[in-house]
Amino acid sequence: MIHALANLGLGMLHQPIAFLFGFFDRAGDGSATFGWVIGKILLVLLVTHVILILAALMVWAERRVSAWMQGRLGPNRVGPEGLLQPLADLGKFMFKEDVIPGHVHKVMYTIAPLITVIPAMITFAVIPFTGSFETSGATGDTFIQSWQIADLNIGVLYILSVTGLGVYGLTLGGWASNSKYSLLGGVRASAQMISYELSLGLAVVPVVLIVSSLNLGDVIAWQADNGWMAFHQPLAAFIFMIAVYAETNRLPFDMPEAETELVAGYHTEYSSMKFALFFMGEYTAMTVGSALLVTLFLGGWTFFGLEQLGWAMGVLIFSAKVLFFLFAFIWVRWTIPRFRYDQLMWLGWGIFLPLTLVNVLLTAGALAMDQAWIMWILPLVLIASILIAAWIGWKRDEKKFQPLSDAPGVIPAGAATGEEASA
Amino acid sequence: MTTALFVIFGATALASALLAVTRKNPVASAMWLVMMFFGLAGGYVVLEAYFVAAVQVLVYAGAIMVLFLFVIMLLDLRSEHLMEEEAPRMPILGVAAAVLFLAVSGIALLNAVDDGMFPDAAARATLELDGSARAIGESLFGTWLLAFEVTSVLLLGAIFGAVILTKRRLT
Amino acid sequence: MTLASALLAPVLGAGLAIPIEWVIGLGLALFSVGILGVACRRNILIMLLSVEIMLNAANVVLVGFSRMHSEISGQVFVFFSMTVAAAEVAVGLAILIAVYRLRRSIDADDTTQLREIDYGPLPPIKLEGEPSHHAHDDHDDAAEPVGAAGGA
Repeated sequence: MIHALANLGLGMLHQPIAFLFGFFDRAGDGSATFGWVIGKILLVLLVTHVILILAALMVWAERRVSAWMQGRLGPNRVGPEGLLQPLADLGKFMFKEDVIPGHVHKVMYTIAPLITVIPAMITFAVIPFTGSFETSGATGDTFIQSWQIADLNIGVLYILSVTGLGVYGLTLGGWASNSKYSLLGGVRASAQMISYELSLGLAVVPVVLIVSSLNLGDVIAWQADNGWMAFHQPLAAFIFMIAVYAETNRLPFDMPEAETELVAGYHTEYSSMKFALFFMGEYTAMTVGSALLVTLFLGGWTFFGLEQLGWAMGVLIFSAKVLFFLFAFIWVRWTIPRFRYDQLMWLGWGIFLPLTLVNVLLTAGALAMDQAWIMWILPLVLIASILIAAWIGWKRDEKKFQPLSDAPGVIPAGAATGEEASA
Repeated sequence: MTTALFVIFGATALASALLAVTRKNPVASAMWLVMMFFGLAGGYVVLEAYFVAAVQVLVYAGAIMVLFLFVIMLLDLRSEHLMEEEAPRMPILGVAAAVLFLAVSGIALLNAVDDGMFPDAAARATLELDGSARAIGESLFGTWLLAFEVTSVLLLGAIFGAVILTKRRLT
Repeated sequence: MTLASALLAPVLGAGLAIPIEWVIGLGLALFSVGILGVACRRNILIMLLSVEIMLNAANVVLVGFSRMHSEISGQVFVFFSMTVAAAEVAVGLAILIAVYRLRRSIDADDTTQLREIDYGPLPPIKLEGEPSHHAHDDHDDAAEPVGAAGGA
C-alpha cells in the first residue's frame, strides 16, 4: 500500500522531469547535443544553489542546535523558528564596510577567501546524488540520464586532489593578513591539513581496492550489492570521518581558528563578505565531507532497496544521510572539547597513519587470498584494532593525567555529599 | 578544438612559469607555480592522460607546493631583509644559457619536424592510448615493478635526509 | 545542436588532434624558463621552484612521447619523476632550513664558506610597526630584576 502510494507520488514527480530531460540527451552516437549541454549547465546551477542555501541554513542550524544543546533559545525572531536569520545575516555582511587593513598583502588577501570556497564547491561535480534513469528522447531511443554533473572514471582521485587545494585559502589568508595571530592560524591550518590528508587518502585506498574502480558510481553499485562499505571497512570509515573533521577545521580540531588562543586565527583580519566567504567555505567543506563519507562508506543514495522506488527517493535518501552527518558535526562540536596541537599531530601521525597503513595491508592481503570467509573476518579484525588503539590511548592518558579526585587535597565529590547527607 | 585548448593551457603554464621565476616575493612565485601546475594538468587532460593530470594536481599542487608555502611562512620571509635580493652578478649569462638551450633544442625540434619524425594529423588520428588508472597500474606493477620498489627506497632516504638535516643540532 | 556537437565532440573522446611537436615545444620552453630561474635568481627557494619547473618540463615531454608512441610507459615515468620531485623538495627544503639556521639568509651567494659561523640566536619574528627586536633579547635573558626592567 505504502509502496504503491510512494510509487504514485514519485511517478507524478517523475513524469514532468523525465519529459524535461527527454530533450537533454546525447545523440545516438554518444556525442553531446545542445540539450545535453544545457541540461548539465542547469544541473550545475541547481547543485551550486542547493549547496549555497545549505551552507546558509547550516549557519542557522549551528546556532539553533547549539542553543538547544545548551538550553537556550537561539535566533528565533526572523521568520518562522528564525529560519530567515541567514538572510538577515547576509544583509548584514553585505552592507558592512569591507575593511582592508593597511598592512596586508592586498592581492593575496583578496583571493584567499575565494580559494577557500572554490575547491570545496567543485568537489560536488563528481558526487552522484541519485541513480541514473532512462528516458526516451525526441528520436524515440532510450537514454540513461545521470544526476551526476561529471561521471569521471577517476572520481576518487579527483576528490582527493581537489580537497587538498582547500588548504591554500587558509594558508594564504593567514599569511597575507600580516598579523601574528593570522600567521599562526595559517601555519597551523597547513600543517594540520597536510597531516590529515595522508589518513584521508589512505582510508580511501581499501575502498578502491575492494571495489577495484575509482569511479564513485561503481563504489555505490558495489555497496548496493554487498552492503555498506562501513561494515566491510569500519576502521577506514571511522578514520575517514575523523580526518574529515580535521580537514574542515571543525571542533575538536579547530586549532587554526581557536578563539581562546588566536583571536580568530587565519580570518582575524577579515570583515564583511570576505569573512562570510571563509564561513561559506567551511560549511561547504563540511557538506562535501559528509557527502563523501556517505558516498564512499554508507551506500550513497541507496538504502537497502528503498532507492528502487525511483530516482527521487535516491535524492531523499542521500540528503537525509548528508543532513545527519551535518548534524553530527554540530553535535560533536558541543560534545568533545578542543584537542591540544601536539595531541592532534600525535593522533594524525602516530595513530591514524599506522592504523590506515595496517588496514591497507590487511585488506590487500585478504583480497589476494580471495577467500569469502576472510572478507567476513576482516571487519571484526578492524573493529578489534580500533578497540586496541583506543585502549592503548586510554592507558597512555591514564598514566599521564591523574583524575582530579585522586589528587592530594581534593575531597572526592561523593564523600562530600555523603557527609552532608549524614549531617 | 582540443588543439586550441592545449594552446590555452600551455600558454597559461608557460606564462605562469615565467612569472614564477621573476616575482620578487617567494609566496607570489609559489602561487604562480601552482597556476603552472594547473595549466599543465589541463594540458594532460587534453592529451588524455587523465591519471597523470589527477596525480599532477594531487602531488604537486596539493602536497609539494603546500610544503613550500609552509616553509616560507616558517622562515617568516615577510621580513624585508629576506625579501631583498641583490641582482645576480652576471644576469646576462643566465639569460644567455636559457636562450641558448631554447635555440639549440628548438632547432633540433624543427629539424625533426622537417624530417617527418613526428606523426602528421592522419597518423595521429590512428593513435590510441588508454591513460586510465588501470592501464598505468598494470604497467607500473608489471613492467616497472623493480623501479617502483627502488622509488620507495628513494623516498625512505629522503625522509631520513629531511629529518636529519632539520634536527636542531647538526653535530 | 550541430554547433554544440561540433564544439564538444572532440572533448568527449576523439582521436588525438594535438601535434606532438607542440607538446615537445612546450616542454623545451618550460625547461629554458627553469634554467633562467636557476641561473638568474639567488634566492634558494626560487631556485628550488625553478628545478620543479624543469622537472615538469620533462614530464610534459614524457607525456607527449607517450602519446606519440602509444606507449603507457611514458606516463609511468611521469609518476616516477613526481616521486623524485617530492623527494627532492623534501631534502631541498630541509637543506634550506639548515642553511637559514646557519647563515640567517637564503641567498645562495651567502653560503660560500665551509666553516660554520656563529650568527647568534635566531631573530624573533619581526612585524611591521614594531620596534627593533633587541628588546626581546634582553627580556628573554631575564638577568635583571623585574623592577629595573620596569623602570627602564
